[in-house]
Amino acid sequence: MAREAYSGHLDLLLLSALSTEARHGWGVIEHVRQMSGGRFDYPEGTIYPALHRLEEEGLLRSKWSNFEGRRRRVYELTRSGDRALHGRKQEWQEFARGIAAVIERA
Amino acid sequence: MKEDFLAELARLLRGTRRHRERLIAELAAHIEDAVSAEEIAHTPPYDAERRVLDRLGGAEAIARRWNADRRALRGRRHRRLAALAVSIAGAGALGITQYAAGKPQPPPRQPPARTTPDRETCPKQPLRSTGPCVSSSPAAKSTTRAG
Repeated sequence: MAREAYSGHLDLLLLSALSTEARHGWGVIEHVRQMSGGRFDYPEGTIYPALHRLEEEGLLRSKWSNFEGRRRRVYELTRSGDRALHGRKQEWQEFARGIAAVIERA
Repeated sequence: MKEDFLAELARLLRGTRRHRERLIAELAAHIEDAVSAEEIAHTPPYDAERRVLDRLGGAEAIARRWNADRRALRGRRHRRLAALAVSIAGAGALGITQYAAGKPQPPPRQPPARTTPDRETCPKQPLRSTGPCVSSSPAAKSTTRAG
């Protein structure tokens, strides 16, 4: 699947990656890469503007932390972010069911 | 290479200094972590940094996305402020209108009940007196004496 197909769902991927634990940017990218089996191959630098935007929208919070002896900006979901994640997951699942229903008849 | 990339990015980014410096610090940390991961996988250091920078996407692409998000955020803030200003002005105008329409009229001023002699009709009555006005006319004086 082309990279662009994943780009529209970047927010959902980022929120999902932070749903189980707080992570810094590199950790988020590694988590998504591993969980997607390498399918997600997005320009890594562009996730940082997305993380900042989600924080400005109140879905994430972040702070500088000492991570294995290095100073890293660590992100976590807010309560609003958790609600947004559940909403977008449901939308995605509905979307996927709709697509599957159509293509199965093809 | 890393320093050139970060310098180019710093040149292209817009927004407040605090936000720009934070983004650059995060990307510097990202490069450090990604290069460490490459070196653990036995990639030579020069190649490791080159690969990591390639995967980052160019400074232009990152700056373009960042600047677009900043513009959208500023636009939303301006619209929220404008909506707030309009509702405050509207509430103020409504309040003034309601006040003017429903403002109670003051009652007509009643002259106070006279308990002391009025100086105009009883010029000679001392102010402390609370009795009836004693006229200084000769007719009033003769009536008083006869009784």
